[in-house]
Amino acid sequence: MKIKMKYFGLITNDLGSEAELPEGSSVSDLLNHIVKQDPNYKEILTRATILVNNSKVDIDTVLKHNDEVMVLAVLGGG
Amino acid sequence: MLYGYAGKMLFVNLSNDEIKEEILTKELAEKFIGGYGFGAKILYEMMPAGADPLGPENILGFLTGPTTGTKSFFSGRYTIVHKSPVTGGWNDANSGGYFGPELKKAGYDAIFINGISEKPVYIYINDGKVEIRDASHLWGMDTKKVWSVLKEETKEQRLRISAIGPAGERLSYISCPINDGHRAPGRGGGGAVMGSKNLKAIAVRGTGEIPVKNPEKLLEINKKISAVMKESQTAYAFRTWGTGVGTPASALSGDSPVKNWGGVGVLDFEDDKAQKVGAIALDRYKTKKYSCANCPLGCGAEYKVEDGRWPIEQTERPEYETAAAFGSTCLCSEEDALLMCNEICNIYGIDTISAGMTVAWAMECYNEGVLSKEELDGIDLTWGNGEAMVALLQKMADGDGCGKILANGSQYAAKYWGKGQEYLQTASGIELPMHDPRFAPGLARTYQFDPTPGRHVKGGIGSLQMGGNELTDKYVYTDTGMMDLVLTTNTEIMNSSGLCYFHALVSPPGVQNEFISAITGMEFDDKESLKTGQRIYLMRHAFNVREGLKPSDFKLTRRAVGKPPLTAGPLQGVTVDEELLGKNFFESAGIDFETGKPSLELLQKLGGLDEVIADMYVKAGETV
Repeated sequence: MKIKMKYFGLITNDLGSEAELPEGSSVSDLLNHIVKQDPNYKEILTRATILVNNSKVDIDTVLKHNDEVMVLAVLGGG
Repeated sequence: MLYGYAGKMLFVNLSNDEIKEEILTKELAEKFIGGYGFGAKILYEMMPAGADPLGPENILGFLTGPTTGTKSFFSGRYTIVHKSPVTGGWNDANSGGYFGPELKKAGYDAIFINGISEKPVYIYINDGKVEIRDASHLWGMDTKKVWSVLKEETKEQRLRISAIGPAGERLSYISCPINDGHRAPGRGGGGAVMGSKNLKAIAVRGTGEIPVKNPEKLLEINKKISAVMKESQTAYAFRTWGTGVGTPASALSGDSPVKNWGGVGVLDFEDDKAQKVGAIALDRYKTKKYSCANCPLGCGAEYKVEDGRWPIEQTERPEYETAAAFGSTCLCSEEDALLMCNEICNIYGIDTISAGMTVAWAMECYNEGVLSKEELDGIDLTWGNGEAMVALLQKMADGDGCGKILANGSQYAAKYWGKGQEYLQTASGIELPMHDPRFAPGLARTYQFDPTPGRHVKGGIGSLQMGGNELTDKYVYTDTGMMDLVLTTNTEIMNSSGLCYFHALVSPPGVQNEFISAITGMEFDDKESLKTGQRIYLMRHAFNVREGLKPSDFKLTRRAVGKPPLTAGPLQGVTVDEELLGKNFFESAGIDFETGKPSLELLQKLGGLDEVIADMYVKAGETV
């Protein structure tokens, strides 16, 4: 299934606007997928706010085809 | 010789032109470190309770810490202290740039100024030589112009100044000094205090060296930080785009307020709008990087704005707080308006947070029919209207028409007009900064109850939660006290030592204590940090208690704690128990929540707080 992706904040490299994941994948699976793309973001992702279709979710949430995910890595100051 | 210090403090009375030096004692250095640690101790000793914040008795301090002026990374900050005309209580605010190190190299760890000059003056310090000079010709000048004029006048091209602009001269409660053209100890009305003294600027030039006990160790610590930074994505983002790289993420996650704290980012300030005022989008204006003294991060930048409605030949990158205040909080995604607002604040000497928040308050009042177009001098202040935002801010900067009222902040304006109180977003009267306690609940405690209310740089558990760190469920409010206390005292030391808040985001743990130990020769460990941090906190707290302010007198407006909660978005349904967070903290800190009195046992154990014991216990007739 395809997940529409948007990244903000500390995740500044281009990780693409879509993620391809097996049916039944969770937010946790999605985060692992991102870490495989760029291992440098592993620590930042543990602190990021994840929104699915504009709602905050926990990492066990199961994703659906065409879900819109925002990965919001805030700085923690400024 | 005291390692880590210039060794002298300067006292200037502008009523009679008296200039005095005092030797910095070892006891003061060890017990209060520097910065507002020194400031709280000196102001408590020298200022009477009930002093008029804009009168001669208020003492305005400019202070450095032991790291300032050394080769320590992140050591470019200085602090101002005074009684605030906004909150009526203790105030401290700090700023980066180069002014702090220059002051210390000129021979002084701190300057304290009281009295009121009959005519405008500036204080000129050049390697230990101090003069009070006429500033009549500088009055009315903006903060950038006055810097260039003073460089010429003193023939010192490396001169650093901290100066007020026209807003401070007019005693605007949201005014502040500006140093290096764009760095500001912005919050709490320091510009008005300076203006009330007819003090246009402090100009410093120094070539001295600060003695360091263990210079090799200091360089080792710097190297350790560099190694961590090399691998840090946070450091990369800060270095490349500055704090504004986080503006869109903060608006969408709920970290930053939206629509005067009543909106939801993903619904009211969608990602395409949020990105327009983020630093990545604004990077097209960058002409040059800017770093504060001894900063390996360099989160600043110079901009040139050639397009849009307000071209600016040379300006600076807006900080996150500025972009959020004029951006998501006002629902404005017009980048040229944001850049112009930032420039107006810098040259007139205005706190960008309070300015943006005051505009947001006026916007909500206008859109809800509370303030009329006539009351706003014909400005059509609809949500997100950048042109109207710039026009209103310009009026505030000029003290013109409705701007004269709004230049004293939203609380003053609501009181003046007798309406709009329900839309105020303040803590003890000062506009809230740009991190939302519904996102980081620990901030509710610091915003409401810190002796300097309404600040995002006072540590506590909120400082971890801001960055998404959650050691425990952040919405469970029990047993928070001790962790909150430890993280607060740690920040007391950071601020007092002269280090930048951002060092902690990109450094290995513990470098703060290591820097202080290497520079001063003290054995400064976690235990000492807790004890000294508590002492500094209690000194600031005692200043407020002496002014008659108990914890229950500190008020935080309701939206910030989800009362009522938001009905949509990532923070939907969140309510913060700020009273419990406060009570937990005060219990762990040994302070009675009802009376504000620290326990006698604690005061005696910490030491260095004899005046506080005398005021709170001896004069009250209690047995000590």
